[in-house]
Amino acid sequence: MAAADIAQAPPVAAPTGTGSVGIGLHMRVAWRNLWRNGRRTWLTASGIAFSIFLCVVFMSFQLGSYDGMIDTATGMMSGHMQVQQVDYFDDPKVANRIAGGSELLRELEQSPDVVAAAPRVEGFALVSVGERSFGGLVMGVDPVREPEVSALSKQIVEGEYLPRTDSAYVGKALATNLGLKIGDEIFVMGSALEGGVAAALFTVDGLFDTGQVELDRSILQVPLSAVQSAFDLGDSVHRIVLMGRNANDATAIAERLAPALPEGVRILDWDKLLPELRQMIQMDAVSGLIIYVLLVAIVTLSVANSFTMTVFERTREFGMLIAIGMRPGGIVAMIVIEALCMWVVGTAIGAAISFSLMVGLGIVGVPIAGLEDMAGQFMMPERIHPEVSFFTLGTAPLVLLVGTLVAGLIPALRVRRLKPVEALREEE
Amino acid sequence: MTQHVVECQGVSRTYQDDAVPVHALRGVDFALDPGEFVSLAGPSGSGKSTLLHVIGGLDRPNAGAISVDGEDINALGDSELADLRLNKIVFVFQAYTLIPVRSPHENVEFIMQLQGVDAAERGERALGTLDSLGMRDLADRRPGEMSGGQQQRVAIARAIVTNPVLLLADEPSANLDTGTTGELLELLKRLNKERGVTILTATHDPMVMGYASRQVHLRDGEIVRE
Amino acid sequence: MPLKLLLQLSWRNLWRHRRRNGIMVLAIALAVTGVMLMNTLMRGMAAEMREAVIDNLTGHIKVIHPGYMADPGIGRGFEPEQGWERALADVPVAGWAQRVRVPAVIMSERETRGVQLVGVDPAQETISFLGSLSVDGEALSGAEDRRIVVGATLAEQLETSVGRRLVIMTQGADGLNREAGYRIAGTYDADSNALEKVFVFTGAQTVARLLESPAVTEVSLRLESGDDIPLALAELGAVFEDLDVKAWQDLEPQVASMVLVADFGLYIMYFVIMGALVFGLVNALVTAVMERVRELGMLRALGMRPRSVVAQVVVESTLVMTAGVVVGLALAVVCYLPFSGGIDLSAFSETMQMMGVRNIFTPRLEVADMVIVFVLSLVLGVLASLYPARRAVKVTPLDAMRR
Repeated sequence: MAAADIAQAPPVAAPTGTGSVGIGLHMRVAWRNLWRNGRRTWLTASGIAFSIFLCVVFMSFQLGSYDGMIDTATGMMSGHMQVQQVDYFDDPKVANRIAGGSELLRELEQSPDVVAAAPRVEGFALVSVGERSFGGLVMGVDPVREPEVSALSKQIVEGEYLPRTDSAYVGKALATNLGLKIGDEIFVMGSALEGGVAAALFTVDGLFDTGQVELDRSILQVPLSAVQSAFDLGDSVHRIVLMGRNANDATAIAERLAPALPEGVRILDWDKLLPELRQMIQMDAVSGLIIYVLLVAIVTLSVANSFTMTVFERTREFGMLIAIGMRPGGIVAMIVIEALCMWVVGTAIGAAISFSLMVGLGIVGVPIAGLEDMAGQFMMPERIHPEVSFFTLGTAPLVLLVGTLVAGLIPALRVRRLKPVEALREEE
Repeated sequence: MTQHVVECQGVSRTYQDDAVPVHALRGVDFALDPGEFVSLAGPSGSGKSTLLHVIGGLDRPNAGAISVDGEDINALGDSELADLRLNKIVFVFQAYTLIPVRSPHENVEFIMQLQGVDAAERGERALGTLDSLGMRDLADRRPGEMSGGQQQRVAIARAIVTNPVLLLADEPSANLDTGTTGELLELLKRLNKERGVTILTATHDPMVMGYASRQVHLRDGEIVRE
Repeated sequence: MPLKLLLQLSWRNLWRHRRRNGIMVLAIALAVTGVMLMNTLMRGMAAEMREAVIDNLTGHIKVIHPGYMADPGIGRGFEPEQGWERALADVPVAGWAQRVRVPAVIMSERETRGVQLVGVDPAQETISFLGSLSVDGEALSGAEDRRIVVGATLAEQLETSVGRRLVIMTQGADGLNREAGYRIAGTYDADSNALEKVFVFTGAQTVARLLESPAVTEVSLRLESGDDIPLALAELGAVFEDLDVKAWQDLEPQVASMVLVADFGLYIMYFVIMGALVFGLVNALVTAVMERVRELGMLRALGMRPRSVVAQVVVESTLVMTAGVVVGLALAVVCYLPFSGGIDLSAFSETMQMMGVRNIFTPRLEVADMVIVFVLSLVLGVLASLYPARRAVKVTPLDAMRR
């Protein structure tokens, strides 16, 4: 500064002398320091980017596949929720029924939470064609309402879905085993409500093929009223299957609907209807979590290592800074800000790649090729749409932000023990 | 006529420094006879270190021929140059001369290990050499625990234990006090006289020049006076 | 450069930066432990699923009629020739069983259910879960036994109990219904409720009498070792020319694919986790090289060949990796040992049953996997050192002296 400038400058009352500097200067200095060893910064930032990329991609796919699994699983048969007689879930026998089914159905349909509702009556019966017979589950459904809650009617491969009051909708495997074709008559016989014999005659009007042999071999759907009268059930039903707007709301809706239900009747959400689904998701989430924790821990260690090296190399420089009056705390802050900048670089790269990829794939979806067997077994949809949400995209960067700051802070704290004279003597 | 230990003909070396060519050596003709103790003198940037480097095969000239002990350096690859240094040429640097993770004894043994000398002989020769330089008691210290002069003496012990043809020393006294420099120079002189090691040093230090049997002055990359 | 010298130099160089290399070793160990433990769980799961499938009347190999899968029934039965098992003289077989398994309807006074009626010779069933079942009441005494054994869950659903009678209805070979009443000898408790609901056992002769057919619907074999399956398949194929001879992998493709996923899972997890680690390792190695520019230059000046410089960096990297992997594997073993007897997973029981796994879950730490991880890590250690080593070789003695 020229002498004239000093003369014009306002008088400085006293040196502030705190040895600390403003955050803006810190930022600029930290940013420049970071690029003094560009290779190291790139390597460490790439590590951060790599982990963020993996975590974001895995999490999006994981959560996306859960939604797909839930939709597929609940959409097949069970629906988002079901209203049942209290004992029916544990002991599905004909007697455990809801009396006055049609009235309850109408009430439920009026709830704004309920998008679709369909009644069902079920009973185990012997299905005979001529001399041949087979044990199976006879399911009485409402031909109009049922397609709203179950995908089974869409798996039709031949004929029509329950066009008449005596129609039967039969699995292709069962039809093959019994030598059935469209238009054949079948005789259904089971135990009715009061121990009598339930018997009815149906005509095969449609065949379905779900790909799950067990289902295709053991279930037939017929119109609700036919089963109700055959089993002496009157207006009773066994299940009222409900769909909400979104499977994730099922628990909340079930809680809202429960108080209005008559005595001896309860509502179950898909969580309870398909406990294995929830548990499978939990197990998968836990194993995913282990991987994420490992990835974050390892990257945090790499960042810590990077800063350990940085601090070690700059001992002389720090000694000099302390010697000219900078507070050790200021140096610690500078290193932590360097760590922050490192995180910004790594996250910018990792997030740019993974976010754009996930948003793109989230719209298009990814087909699961070659895993049809598993898809059937584990209730997976044919396409996974990765979930794009604050949670899936934001968690990894935020957790790593904490990790990076801690990883910078720990080696930085050693600076506070630094003796300037010794530090300056350190060989460069 | 005896063969020269070192023979340089028209040696030039040009660096590209920020797009400006720096002529470190301009057509130097130079020879060293066996048993000579020659000192290269000249101001900084005169090219003495560069000449030392090209003779030792650490750097390659842009033009000219160099032979060391009859071998044409230009014709040798990196690995062969390494072998040449291993077996015939040794360096003594101004600083940072020892391998920090090894004791003086192990430093002295190191080159013999590279040469593949067996362990018993190695140990014996290393101790013998340290002994002859009066450093037996330092043999198992860590390099960091020794003074600059002690380190430099270990470096010389390491240099001569293999009976080299040529010893190149670049500012060997730069980090030493006068007393230690004197000891070091006495040592070099003894080597030169008793073992017939040819020595070439590059230095500013008049004390070092005084010990040499011949002085060569360089200026701007050319030999100006012998 | 002698290897011993190389190792010694590298080893001491590593100790110069204890903190830095310690962190690297810790990170590698953490990664290896994590991957190994995850793999242990996956292997355990896959093994349980495989064992459960093999136990649940499938065996290693099953011989069935080609049409049986689509239309299970006595109509798809066959009569194996006496002494067919002699064809397997050179394959060690743990045992085999001939069964009649047909779909049937079972009726109590109150309830009706669809089940699988299985006619067995209890003496042969040491190869399936039937051999080790805990039965409440009495087990079947032989192929002649005319009583039935049903699952405890099924008995509950049918509201019946030991000593009472049930009516079984099924189809004969002619497609006509057969019906007969049987007394319950005992109820069994299996690992899975699904099994209890499905399988009803009685003597093979009893089913033959009911169906009026001496045929069986399946021959199930259990080998001493799963490795012999291909050989046994070939030999059985020659004996049962017109029948399907199938390995369990073909009969239960989902489980087979899960076992396969477990095989790949190790590699996927390893490369995902180690991928993140490599950045840090390369970083530490490059720093170690750049710090030693003067030293490396001096070594070159002393006559060390470029190749030896590369070797030194590679050896240092490999040593860090080895230390990390050894610690990681040791940690994995230490974490694994308390659980090697099994983990109670009843909290996840429905899923486990669905996937055919028992409530007590036994993780498996396989030596072969540890060897794979070890070898992969050495390879990775070498790969990670290539870039730093290239940097090291570029260091000339002159660079060292100019600093």
